[in-house]
Amino acid sequence: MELQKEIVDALRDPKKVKTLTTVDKDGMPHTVPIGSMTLLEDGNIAFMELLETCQTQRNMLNCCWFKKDVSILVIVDWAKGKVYQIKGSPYKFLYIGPIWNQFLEKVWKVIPEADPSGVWLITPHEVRSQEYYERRKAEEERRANWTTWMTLKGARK
Amino acid sequence: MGKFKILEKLGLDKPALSVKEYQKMSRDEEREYVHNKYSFVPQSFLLSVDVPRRGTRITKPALQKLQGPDYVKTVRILFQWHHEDFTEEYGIPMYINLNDGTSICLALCPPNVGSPYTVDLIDDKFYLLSDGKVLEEVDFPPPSEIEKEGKTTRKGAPLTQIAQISGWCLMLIPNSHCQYWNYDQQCRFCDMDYNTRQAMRMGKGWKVRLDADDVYDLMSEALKEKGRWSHCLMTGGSNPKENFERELTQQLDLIRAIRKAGEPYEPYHMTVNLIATPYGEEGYKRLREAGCDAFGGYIETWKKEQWELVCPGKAEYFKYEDYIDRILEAVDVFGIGNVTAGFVIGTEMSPPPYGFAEVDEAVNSTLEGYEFLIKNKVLPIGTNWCIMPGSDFYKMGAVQPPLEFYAKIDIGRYRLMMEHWGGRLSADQMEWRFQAVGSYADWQRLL
Repeated sequence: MELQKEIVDALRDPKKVKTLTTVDKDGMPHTVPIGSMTLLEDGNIAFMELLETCQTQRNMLNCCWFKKDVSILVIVDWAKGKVYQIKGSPYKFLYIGPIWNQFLEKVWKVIPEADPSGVWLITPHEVRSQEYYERRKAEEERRANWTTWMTLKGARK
Repeated sequence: MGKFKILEKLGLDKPALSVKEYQKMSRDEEREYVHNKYSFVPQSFLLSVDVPRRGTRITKPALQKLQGPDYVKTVRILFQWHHEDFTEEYGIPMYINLNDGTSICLALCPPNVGSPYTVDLIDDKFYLLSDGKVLEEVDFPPPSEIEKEGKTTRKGAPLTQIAQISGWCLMLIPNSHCQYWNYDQQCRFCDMDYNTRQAMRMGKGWKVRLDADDVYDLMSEALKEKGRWSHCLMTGGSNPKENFERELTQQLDLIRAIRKAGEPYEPYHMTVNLIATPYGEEGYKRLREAGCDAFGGYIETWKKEQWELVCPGKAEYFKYEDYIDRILEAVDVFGIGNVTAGFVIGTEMSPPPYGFAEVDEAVNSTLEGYEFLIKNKVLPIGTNWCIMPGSDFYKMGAVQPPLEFYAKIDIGRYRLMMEHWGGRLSADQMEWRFQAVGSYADWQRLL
């Protein structure tokens, strides 16, 4: 799927915060910040897993094997509430080749001691804005009479 | 296809047991049986049915804590929810809240009636127990500002006597007397007038008939409280005089008072859901013009022959088909999603010939009705049947239907709603925070 420009820019900006949520075999969620996450030219989102034995790596394998989605949160502009959730499926794990080399070079600039496990490619297939008014509008469109019954009545100030 | 077509269609055709089999089970055995058979149903949904169905005892320490200032004391109720109303010495909340927010009706029950659950105080926290085993921590709603400050109408009546005041939905009862009782034509499950007389005897000081001034005063105060109210429900006894014109006129007066009180808060005026006699198109237009947002009519029970027996007052003034058609007509005036049809869920299993003898035929009949209504943009809602003193069914010795009956009805309703509307429609005017005696409302959280 094609992502909006502001999401593309944020994914490729190493200063923008991104998180990854995975689940283990029992459905236990696990959320971590990912500094290396970026968007590749082919449309897949990629990040370098730094530790072969860690929970995220095991969860990514679980999600890859058992066809479970992972969730990525991209904070485009926190002050303006511009945050997007991207759901995607683990597609490929690379531990050799040009993509691996590019990531390794960047990671070693920041953490020279790093011994990464590999690079995960995630294929995005759903984007949800987490901005309040957009989410509210979506629910108002999804459910008839939302405004009549779901709003709090009376004084607000 | 077998005998119960809609049960088959909805994947609910695994047969229920005979009623006698459930009656051999203990409280926990029956709940476990249903939980195992429908393992996808959350435990809190089953408790939402079973706790009021069996009743609740409150231990003395828990009762004493509830008398403190942190808990609402529900004064105003439409029907008894306390097997015998022995609560004159105590203030009792209407709701128990589970940890997931589920509101459960607190139907007090003496220990020698049925098989009640227990609310006890452990380490200064409330817990729901079954035979001494803790099921879940529970809590009770805090009082509104109206109750805390002891506010009154301009005429001096406590506002707590004007409406049922808990949270999210204010419930107004225009008439606590149903005129069908005058001629022994009340619905056979109903204890409304018995309950009202009992409350009057206990000096609870209700206004049996509300007027517009009282309602205006109540709403004007209620709307000052931030974040407490989402809408109000108006429902009460019927008045067939002058072809229901008197009843309708009273409703119109009260609705106008509610809207007037909301004027300073536009666009956050109180929205109104009225459940009343199906007045027909002209009546609906008048209600809409006055500011009524949604309308519902209680069919009570679906099968025609049973309806005529269970609801002799309604059957005196309406043909069964006309009663339903009039509810359907309301969709054109109030809009899709804003019309409901109510059932007293469980009366399908009142003693034959009023109801069915076995679970699956009762569930199948009701779900046929639900599907007809849902297809016609009318949302089925309901009040789970509690057999209370003063009602004819109580005098007949009727017993509550098995828990599985309710589980099947609720699952079936949810599946029908998803099949036909995919989450677009939900009876949010009768939603789970307020509707503690209709477990369908818990399932609406998943739509």
